[in-house]
Amino acid sequence: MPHPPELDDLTLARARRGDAGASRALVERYQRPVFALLHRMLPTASAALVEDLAQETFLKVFRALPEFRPDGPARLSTWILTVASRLAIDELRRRPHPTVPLEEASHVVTERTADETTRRRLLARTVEGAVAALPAEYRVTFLLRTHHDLSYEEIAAALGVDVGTVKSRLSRAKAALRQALVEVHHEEA
Amino acid sequence: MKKPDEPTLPPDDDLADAPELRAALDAWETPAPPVGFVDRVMSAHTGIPQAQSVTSSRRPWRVVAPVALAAAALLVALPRTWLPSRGDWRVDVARELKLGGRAVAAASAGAQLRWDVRLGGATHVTQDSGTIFYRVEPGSTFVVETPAGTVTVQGTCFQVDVDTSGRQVMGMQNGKQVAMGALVGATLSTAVLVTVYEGKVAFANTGGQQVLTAGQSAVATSTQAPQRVDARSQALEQDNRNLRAQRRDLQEQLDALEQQLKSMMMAQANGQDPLVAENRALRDQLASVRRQLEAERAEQQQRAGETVPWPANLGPQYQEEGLKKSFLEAISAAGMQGDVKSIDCTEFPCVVYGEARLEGDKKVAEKRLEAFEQQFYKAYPENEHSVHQSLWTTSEKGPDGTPQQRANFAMSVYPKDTVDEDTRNKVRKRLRHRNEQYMQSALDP
Repeated sequence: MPHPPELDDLTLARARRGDAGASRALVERYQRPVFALLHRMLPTASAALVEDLAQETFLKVFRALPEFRPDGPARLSTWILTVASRLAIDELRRRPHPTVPLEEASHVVTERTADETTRRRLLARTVEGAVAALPAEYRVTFLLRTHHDLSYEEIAAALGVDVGTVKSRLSRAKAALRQALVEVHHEEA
Repeated sequence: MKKPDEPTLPPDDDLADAPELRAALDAWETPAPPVGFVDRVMSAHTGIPQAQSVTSSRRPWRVVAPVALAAAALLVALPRTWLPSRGDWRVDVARELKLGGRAVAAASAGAQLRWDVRLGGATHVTQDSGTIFYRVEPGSTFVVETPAGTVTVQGTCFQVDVDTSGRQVMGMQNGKQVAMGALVGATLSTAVLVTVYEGKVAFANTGGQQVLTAGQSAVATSTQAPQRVDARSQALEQDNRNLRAQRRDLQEQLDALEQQLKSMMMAQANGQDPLVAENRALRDQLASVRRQLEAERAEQQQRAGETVPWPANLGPQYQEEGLKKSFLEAISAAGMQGDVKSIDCTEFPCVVYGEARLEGDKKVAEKRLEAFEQQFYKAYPENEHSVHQSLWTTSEKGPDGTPQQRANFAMSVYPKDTVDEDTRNKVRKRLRHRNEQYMQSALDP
């Protein structure tokens, strides 16, 4: 899925200087990926909590924005998602949220249906359930890779781990997905 | 071994590239950011309430939750068809109002509206003034009629601002105050701005129609068709355009300077720089002058001979004061009018330069000069001293026309025993040169 382009350099420069209009443009540009990541990281959290974390993300971003180096290794989107990821992980550590057991998640796909749209939704629930069953660090690694197109190196930098750890976590996420999808196919077969 | 119907997952590098998995991931949708989120972030960031915040609290539904729950309980008891209702509302304090069963209007203070919900849910709202945010669930027709056009919606969140002042400015969401008149370029009677947050609406009047989707706005007056605007982006883009233009100008200036510098450096490297050429010519000229000076010095040294060191314990009669005394006494004894012009003791031996005027013709003058020499030599006996002199006379006429002579002297004296024969030759050469110099300067001042 294509992602919108990064904030242009001039608007970013103005936002770094505290320009209100440019700061607003930054929030408008990145609010969707931030909300998407937080919703997926915290699937059982209330909308209010997600909004709180999203707001905290942008407030942290504004505070740290003067330190952000546009010519540095990190894209702005990567950097913002890093902030959101860490807030989500902190939230999960502070108050563990109930996760959807994999069995329960896969159960929904046992309904046999010929409707492709419904099938896709069920698959999505399956993926969601499988991802939600992962530990927080594995979950965020998977989401940053599959939904936000971050490279291994970017994920490693964002989470403060090495690339090998990123690959290991993705491998485990893949195993969980394979398990979930295998069950879907077996049920449909 | 893999079962035939088992899905094939790609390696980790392409984890999400399997079509089926990609489709599943894409189908995993998340809710859009709530309306007003940007305003709330900006309020928290700047500490300034944002003008277009739909409500003042972050989650207004918390505030109205009890009311909503009570309403929900009531709705459960009612059939799922909307009951007709109508009303007329002038808002003094910002508040929310349910329009029938599927719409909520959040009106700012000063807003004025009438509504008519018909059986089945078709809703017709007349908004005469003010700012009202609408949240409408999908269903029957929902129309907002304004003085500048009609807004038709099919399930959406949107906002209608009716400005009846004709000159009132309106705060846009980027915090900038933007006049509606500026947006449409017209003198206003009543202007209406429609902003869509979710879904789709049609904003139309007799002049035309605009279909707006999320994030789009349009403004219209009673005399002008709806025009699409996005004042936030416009203002920001305009600022950016101005800054880009400034940056472009500065860049051009910088480029020009860099080009100029580059040209100068290249010209320097190639020796084409006028300054470099001029410097080279000056250096050549200077070198030539230096060579010439060196040649003249060498020639002068050749003529003047070598400098002779001062002998130790030289008597006072050979030094400046002694020489001056001897010279003046000799002049006086010879009955001449004259004086010492200078005594040069910068090198050995000292040279006395003097001048005297003698009345009468040349013969008379010669006799007086002879007397001067005899008197001078008395102080320096010839068998013990070496004396060098240059003495010459020039015939002139005095102010009254009588003949007179002008005599010039260049005389030096030193004891014989202080120098050997070789040194004496060097001294003679130097003194001869000095005397020639004096004569030349006296004859051709």
